[in-house]
Amino acid sequence: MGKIPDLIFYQTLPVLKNEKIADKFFILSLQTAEMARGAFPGQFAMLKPERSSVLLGRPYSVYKREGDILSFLYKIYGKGSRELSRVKSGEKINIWGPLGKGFQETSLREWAFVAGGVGVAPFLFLAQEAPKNISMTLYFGIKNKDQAILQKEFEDLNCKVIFVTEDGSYGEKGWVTDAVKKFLDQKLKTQNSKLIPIELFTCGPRLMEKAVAQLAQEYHLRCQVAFEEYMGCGLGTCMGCVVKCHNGKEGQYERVCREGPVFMADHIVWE
Amino acid sequence: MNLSVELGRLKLKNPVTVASGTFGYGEEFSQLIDLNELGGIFVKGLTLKPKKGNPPQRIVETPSGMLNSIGLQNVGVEAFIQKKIPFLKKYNTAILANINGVTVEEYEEIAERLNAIPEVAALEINLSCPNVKEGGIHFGTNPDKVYEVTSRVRKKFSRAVLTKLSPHVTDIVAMAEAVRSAGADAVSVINTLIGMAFDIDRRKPVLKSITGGLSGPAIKPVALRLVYEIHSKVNIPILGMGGISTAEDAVEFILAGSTAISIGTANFYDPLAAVKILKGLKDYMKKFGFKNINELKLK
Ligand SMILES: Cc1cc2nc3c(=O)[nH]c(=O)nc-3n(C[C@H](O)[C@H](O)[C@H](O)COP(=O)(O)OP(=O)(O)OC[C@H]3O[C@@H](n4cnc5c(N)ncnc54)[C@H](O)[C@@H]3O)c2cc1C
Ligand SMILES: Cc1cc2nc3c(=O)[nH]c(=O)nc-3n(C[C@H](O)[C@H](O)[C@H](O)COP(=O)(O)O)c2cc1C
Ligand code: FES
Repeated sequence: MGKIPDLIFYQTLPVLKNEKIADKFFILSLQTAEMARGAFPGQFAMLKPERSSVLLGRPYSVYKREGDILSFLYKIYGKGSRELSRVKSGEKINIWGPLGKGFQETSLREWAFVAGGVGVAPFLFLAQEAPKNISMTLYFGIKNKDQAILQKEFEDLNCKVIFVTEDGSYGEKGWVTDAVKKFLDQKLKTQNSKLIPIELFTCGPRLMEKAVAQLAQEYHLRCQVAFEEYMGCGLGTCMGCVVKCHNGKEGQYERVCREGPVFMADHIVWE
Repeated sequence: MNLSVELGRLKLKNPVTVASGTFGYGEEFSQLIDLNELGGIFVKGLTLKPKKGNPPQRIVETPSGMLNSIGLQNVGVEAFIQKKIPFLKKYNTAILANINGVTVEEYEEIAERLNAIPEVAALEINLSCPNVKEGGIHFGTNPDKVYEVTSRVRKKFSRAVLTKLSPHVTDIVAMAEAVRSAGADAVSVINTLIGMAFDIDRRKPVLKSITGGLSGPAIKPVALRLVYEIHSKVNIPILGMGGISTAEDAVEFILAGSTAISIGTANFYDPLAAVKILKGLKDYMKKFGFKNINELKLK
């Protein structure tokens, strides 16, 4: 985990399945032994339908691996994702990947995933690949009941799921970070040490990720952030996808597609 | 079939090169394509010192193209020599260095430094970067400056020198003529067009730097016209680029008067573009019975 892939592939593949699982949420799967073999959690691929009116590929995290089959969970935002959602089984798609460094190894045995919306995508693959003795909880911030997806998928992998909605219409009420904070405070009460042996992982809207990073700092936790930035190539050549990082005196722009997309929260300069 | 071309002193084994800023220093693409197939690689624009670049958001897709405002983030000429050349020189392809300065002296200094590195087959003087506050396009829109920078770099570098022109001029012929009379081997045409895009939800420009360089298929007709005009009026070899994504596009650029071509933005949305275009060019020549790529150009 956590290194730049040795092997990157470019393939044109027929879509196996492209299914709507909730309003605006889809899962697309492709059969690719080559990419499936090398992929690890936190990595992504660039997708572009063979017949497409957009120019650039769009980055999507690997959501699931089943043998030779890789799946992607995506949400419709704009033109590219809408077009993707219209691709039918058997129609072809160009894909290049696996890309980026995935999640890093950790010696901690308790993991908390903090996801906002479609940011949940990389955590299913991470849960699939987690060693047996890891205790996992997903804190899943959603808009409403309709987005309460994937509970069974995570539970089947022994990952507990806690849904959080802002208005309390489903699961816990408030911000997803409130739920995590509550849990951390409880932990502190039941133990003597001030150090909580938990690794945080987060993926979702920028503001949520920033709030999780602050929480991690406050509670002295390790925190891995799957970061998103507008991408051109996904390969590390356009320098378009950068994020400011603590590196040297003045900081430095690092490529989300190559040095990331997973960064330690305290490495990012949160602006 | 003869595919080799000459841009003055610069000999390329085939006319397909990749454009500066769209191919990094070759390392990433070597994981996907065989760099030995390429006529040459124009590396990311180099400056004397490493450059941090502009704050994000740096790019956005626009109709049939994209805007970028990278701000020349690069490792600097020294790290290029120490860390990137050793990798690139393993391949049988020309190493072509795109150079950038804020002052004429900076261009000279980089040229002098790279003159000592025999693996660097040519310099491409970037007088057309729209995304930095100084140097770049400010030199490129004034024929006297174009002449001055080109001739002073020419004196410091013994191998081929190309000057890359901006499309943002009223008289491209005057610029190309300045490059020719300064003793350069060729002109690179074109760099990006300046453009912008707004985010109507945030009611702000999409790019943090407000404007950016437009590239991709959207600019192809503009680039073709500029290549054609230079070819008709100035006696200097042309490296043509701007929106090339297929072999057919490449043929158009050759017909307009380019001796060689560069693939830019297409590398981003089709990492195999350069290799496919080279193959397509060969197929085209076979189909129409051309034995030598140089016969293709309109006289
Ligand atoms: C490493 C990474 C992994 C991602 N994983 C997933 C995932 O698993 N599931 C998912 O639904 N989404 C994921 N995204 C976000 C997804 O790439 C964007 O939602 C998608 O590109 C939107 O394209 P569009 O044409 O539909 O929208 P547009 O109309 O182009 O834009 C809508 C929004 O998407 C952003 N966006 C557009 N194009 C890109 C691009 N090329 N790269 C990044 N952001 C872009 C824009 O900034 C804008 O906010 C990921 C992004 C990154 C960087
Ligand atoms: C992301 C990006 C970065 C670029 N960086 C440079 C650069 O450093 N130096 C340079 O001379 N041109 C640079 N260019 C311009 C290209 O080399 C090329 O001239 C231009 O993009 C037109 O070709 P295209 O439409 O095929 O991309 C850059 C273009 C893009 C899209
Ligand atoms: S998307 Fe091009 S460098 Fe990251």
